[in-house]
Amino acid sequence: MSLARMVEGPTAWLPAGSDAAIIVSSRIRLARNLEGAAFPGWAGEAECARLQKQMLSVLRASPALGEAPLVFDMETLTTIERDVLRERHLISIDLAHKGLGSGLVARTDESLSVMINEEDHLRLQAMRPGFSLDELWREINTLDDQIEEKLRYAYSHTLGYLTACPSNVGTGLRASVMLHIPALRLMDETEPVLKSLAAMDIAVRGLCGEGTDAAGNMFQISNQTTLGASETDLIRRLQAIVTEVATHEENARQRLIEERPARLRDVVGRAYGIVRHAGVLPSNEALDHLSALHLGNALGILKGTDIAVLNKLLLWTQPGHLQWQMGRPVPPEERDELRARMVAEALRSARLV
Amino acid sequence: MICECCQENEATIHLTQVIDQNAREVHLCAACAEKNGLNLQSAMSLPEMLFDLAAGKTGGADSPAMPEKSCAQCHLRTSDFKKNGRLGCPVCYESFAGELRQVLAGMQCGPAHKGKQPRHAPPVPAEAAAVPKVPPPRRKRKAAAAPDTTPEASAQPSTPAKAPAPAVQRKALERQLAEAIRTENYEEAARLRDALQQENPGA
Ligand SMILES: [Zn+2]
Ligand SMILES: [Zn+2]
Repeated sequence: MSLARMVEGPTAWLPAGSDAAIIVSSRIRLARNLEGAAFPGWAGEAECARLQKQMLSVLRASPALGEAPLVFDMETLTTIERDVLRERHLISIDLAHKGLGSGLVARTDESLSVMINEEDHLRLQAMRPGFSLDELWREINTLDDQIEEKLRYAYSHTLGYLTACPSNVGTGLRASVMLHIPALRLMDETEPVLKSLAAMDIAVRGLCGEGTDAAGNMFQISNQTTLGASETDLIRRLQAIVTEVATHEENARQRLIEERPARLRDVVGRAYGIVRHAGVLPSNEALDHLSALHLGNALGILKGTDIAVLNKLLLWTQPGHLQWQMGRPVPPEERDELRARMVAEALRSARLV
Repeated sequence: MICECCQENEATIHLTQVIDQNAREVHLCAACAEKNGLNLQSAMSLPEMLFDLAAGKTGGADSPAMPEKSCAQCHLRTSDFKKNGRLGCPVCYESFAGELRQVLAGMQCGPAHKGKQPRHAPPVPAEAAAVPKVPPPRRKRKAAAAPDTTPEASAQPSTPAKAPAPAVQRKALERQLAEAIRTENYEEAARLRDALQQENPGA
């Protein structure tokens, strides 16, 4: 299977179905390093390349990654291919900027993958649409067991799995959940809700940038600390908090309909008007409008389209995917025009009710 | 590569920043870098701050530079870690054990690992298994620790019975400091750092 085949399929971080979920997707990542080797950032490219070979042979033979996993070498990827992998959340921005000695191995369905020589020698990742941290932990733990049979991890009895950055030491586990919470923003309640999380060892990041102005009202909530609690405790804590935030959003959606119907109609209507008629549509603006349309669809104001279409647009209007589709590098101004056309076309039959 | 903030322009500015206590590269276009100008200028790394604290540096211009140490295995120096917030190799955790204790107290929720163990991990040695109750053997650590490590600092993770109040107080201050840095409240961070130094009689 090639990158081309994979890109045609759905990404693991966006639901392909028509479920208008507040909880968009879940992800777990484990940081692991090899005993007796310098961390990638300090080892130098030649040593990284040597270790990469060693790790690749083990990963290719790990049953959890499937029979014929996709294998990428960062050195040979084009800029557009890197952007595509990043937009599919398979590689981090840091890895996207690396070359010789780093790479990615992924199951063909993208649900399980390993970044090689990012900040740590191995970054295992499991992701799925919806709220599925327990399943993800089982899957990633199995992969971890399989790798550990062949490679010796850097591990200390007191500090656990040793990582390049002390903020990951211990379990090396970062569990995160992506939430779409537009109604909280419209009820002016995003800030108090998110602020209360900071006190609970929970980190909040927007899809792009910090704070409450995150593009598309997408927020990623994850555990802040990795040392001093077990994997299942970290996950359980996060689950409780995510459930709470999702309930807040659910309530906000109800109250929005009852208390601020005009505001709701206005936001959805403006987004509809713009995406139907705009000639130039920048990336972040598209995310915001798609978020409003998502909400409009979930609350029955927008008909003639569905969540699957909106989610597909969310992915395919991003710069990497857009250029991939065109089959060539496209300058930003032209991208904004193409994006406007693509969204208008896909939502041609959508209508306000 | 595209700017990670606006997702539009080519990223021309590459910085190491500490966000949510994770050191990472930030790739921005000139416009977004300017928009975030204030944050980027005052970006201060949490490891750097806690490292200084461990070394008893007061942060003023007249304070002595902290002693430069390096890892016997990978030769990473204290200044390298302070610069990019990342260690060089697994052995660094022993080489910089004294300083890291402070760093970890500031950014983690406990001093010891409670999770999964690799199957190849050798059986836990008797003294390591008893870490929460009995102070670990000092010999090895003394050689590696900073010369000005105070008795209070070394006792902190192991003996809650000896001095619970100051340790708890310190811990609370360290967490507040970490939070202040995370939220980029640098005035508050500086105040907390000074308060922590007051707490630390040796510094
Ligand atoms: Zn930008
Ligand atoms: Zn080292």
